Amino acid sequence: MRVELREVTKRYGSTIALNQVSLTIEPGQIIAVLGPNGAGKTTLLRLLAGISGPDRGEVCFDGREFDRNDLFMRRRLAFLPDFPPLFAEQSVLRNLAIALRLYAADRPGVETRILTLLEELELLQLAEMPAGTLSRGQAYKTALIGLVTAASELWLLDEPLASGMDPLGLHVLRREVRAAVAAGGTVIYTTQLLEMVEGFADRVLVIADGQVRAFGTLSELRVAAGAPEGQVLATLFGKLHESRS
Amino acid sequence: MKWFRDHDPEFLARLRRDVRNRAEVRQLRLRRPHWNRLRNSKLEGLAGLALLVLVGFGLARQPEGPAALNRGALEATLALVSLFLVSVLERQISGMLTHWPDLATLLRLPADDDWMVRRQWGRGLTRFPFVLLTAFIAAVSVSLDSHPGWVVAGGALLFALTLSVLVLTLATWLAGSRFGPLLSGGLWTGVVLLWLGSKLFPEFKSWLVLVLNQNGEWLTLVLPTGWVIRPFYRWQEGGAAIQWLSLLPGVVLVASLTTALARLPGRLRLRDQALLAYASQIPDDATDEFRKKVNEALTLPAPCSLGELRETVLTRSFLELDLAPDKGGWLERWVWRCWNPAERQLAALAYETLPQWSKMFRLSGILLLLGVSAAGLGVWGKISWLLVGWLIAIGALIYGLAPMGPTAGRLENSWEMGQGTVTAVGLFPLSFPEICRWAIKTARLRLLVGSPLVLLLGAVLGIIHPELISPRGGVECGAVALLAVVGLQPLWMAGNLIGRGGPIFVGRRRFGRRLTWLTLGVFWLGASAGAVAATIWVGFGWGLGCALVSVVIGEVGWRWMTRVVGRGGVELLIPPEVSG
Repeated sequence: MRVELREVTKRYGSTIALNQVSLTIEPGQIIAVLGPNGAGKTTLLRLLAGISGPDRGEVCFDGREFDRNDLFMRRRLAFLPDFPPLFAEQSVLRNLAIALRLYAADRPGVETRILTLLEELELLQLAEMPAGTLSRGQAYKTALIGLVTAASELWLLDEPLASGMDPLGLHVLRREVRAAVAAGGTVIYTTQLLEMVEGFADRVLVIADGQVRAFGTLSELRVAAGAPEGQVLATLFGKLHESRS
Repeated sequence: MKWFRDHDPEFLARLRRDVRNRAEVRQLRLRRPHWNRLRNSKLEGLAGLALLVLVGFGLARQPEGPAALNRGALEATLALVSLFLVSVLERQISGMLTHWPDLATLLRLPADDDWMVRRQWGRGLTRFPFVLLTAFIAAVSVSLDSHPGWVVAGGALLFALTLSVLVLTLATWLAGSRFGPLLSGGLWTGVVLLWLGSKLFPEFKSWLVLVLNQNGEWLTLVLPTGWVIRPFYRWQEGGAAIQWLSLLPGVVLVASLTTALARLPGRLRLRDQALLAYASQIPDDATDEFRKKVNEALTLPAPCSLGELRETVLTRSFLELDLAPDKGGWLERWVWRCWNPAERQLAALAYETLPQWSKMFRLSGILLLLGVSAAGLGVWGKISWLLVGWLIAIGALIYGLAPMGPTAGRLENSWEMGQGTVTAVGLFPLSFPEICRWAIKTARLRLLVGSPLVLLLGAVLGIIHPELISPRGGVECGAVALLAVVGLQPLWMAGNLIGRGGPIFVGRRRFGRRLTWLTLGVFWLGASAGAVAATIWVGFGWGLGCALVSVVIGEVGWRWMTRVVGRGGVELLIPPEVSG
């Protein structure tokens, strides 16, 4: 799914979260969104997910303006916030069933996939437990299974690497992200961990003060920033910090 | 670790105690908006003050003759009104304890629970001077004419101090318990009902005076605030010293303040959702029956074996979200039959089991039946049952309409995200118009079932007050009121789905004002009242016209809102200053 932002501006009171951001993201890529705290990363994801509406500009998918009431389009994207939204009193399995039904993904064969993931993520023994009794990491794993099995084309992940998941969960996350992208999907995730960007993300989007400061592959950014190998992001952030101060 | 056996009385006692504690402990709602509202709101305190002072002055200047309250009734009235002070203080203390946002942080730091609670209790006392002043003014107003100035001032100050400390003790006992909200709700409901009664029926006041005159004495003895008010009054009238004996229970109560304080931390423990600690205390060789019993007691599902869980997943039985209509009441079953397959799917997503609408409807019916019977007795038997009938009939109307409101189950759910909350419509691929249509249809079906109640109520009003309206006119009033309610329902429903528990932002530039529940509620009531008023004073046609305007507003409103939601013009992330 081709993602486009056209001159998008978003304000919260007097604060400009995003300022005339224009951006095109082609399908089949992993995009890491980086930026200082309060840069506008989460706002960007919320705008793409349709939770917030832009004050100006347009958000388009495959050239069409985003319409929240278009269920077909809504099912093509999935947003996972930093704390996953689960129905606390419902069991893990019931939460997964609800997600699958909402994404119209309860097709034959999905049960095997769910069982494999539940076992792999050590959640099977908790499958009948209410989601409200899960730890943060376990809750994120549950939501991750829902996300993977819903098979949306565009994944919007807010700080997935700071989700409280154990190394096993993070391993599954990286593997499934790559698989989704290999199948033609797009994954956009925010992070503060520079070491989790190099070698994983295809392109990096750097945002600061509501504006796009850099967008491209690591090698493109290295050339643009004139940074030595392996220190591209550190150099970029250093320059960013200097320009802000 | 100590292993507990299923016959171990210590284990069972501990289990029972913990389950009971969890049931009694109030959940903390540590949210900034609650806190801000609590700190900034002076309305309840001012209302309590105004009420007590007004009552005080009113009692001091009551007319002579049969309409006057006797001494016992005066004492009881003041004791009852003084409960407002308890409620004001209790709400403040409870709020300081349960909505304090910093508590979430402090609970994770090595801070002493008792210290935190006492500190917050102390902060809740900001309204104590308020209580003291109110009691003083009330006392002065009651005893203005009876004694010289210095006696009045000294006595009133002493009275105010005693009463305030008693009020504080009571408030501390009630803080954090379920009785606090009950007291507050009961008192304010009582005020509204008394006001309605006195406005609607001229004979209500004399009936109330009669009841108070007959029951004032024992009421004063029963109400804790009466334990201070009674001797104060007797002292004013130069009563015997023995009257001071009634202060004794008050003194005992005040002495229990430290105990009340010591109990506060226990009421404010955060709910422990993860109760798995018990699982490790059940021995491996315990019977399945015992395990099940423990898990049921802990409100957790009985654990399944991994084999069973695998089977549940592989057989796809967990994906069956369909509702079982046979488990619902008659109303739920009927509504379920009226849904088409797509709507049943939505209902299965919204509810785990069918909601209990029939129970509420049955209760409304019983109340109305009682009201009608009592009203009938009033008309034909010429007894004051008329008043009772009116009150119950109004209660039936309220009860009848309340459950008819919009409910979309977990589709109305909201989650905290960062500094705001976001609704299910915002997070999941849910079609806003589709849910709206389904929820509106459901609400209308329920209203349709409730309509005979409202029409019957209209007819009853016509029978009771033929000088005001005929029974047919009553039915017409009921019909237009119903139509107005039904007409505005979509707007209400749409708002509920977009921002449950908080106002709605409809694109800051497109719609500059916040559409709050209060606005919607006033709009709804205004439309119903307007339609009824037009029917009574102008004619049915005009009333019907007013109701139809409501229908148009509701229809146009939700369709417009749907379009704005589609374009992304509605902020589904509700900011903290307005959420919750």
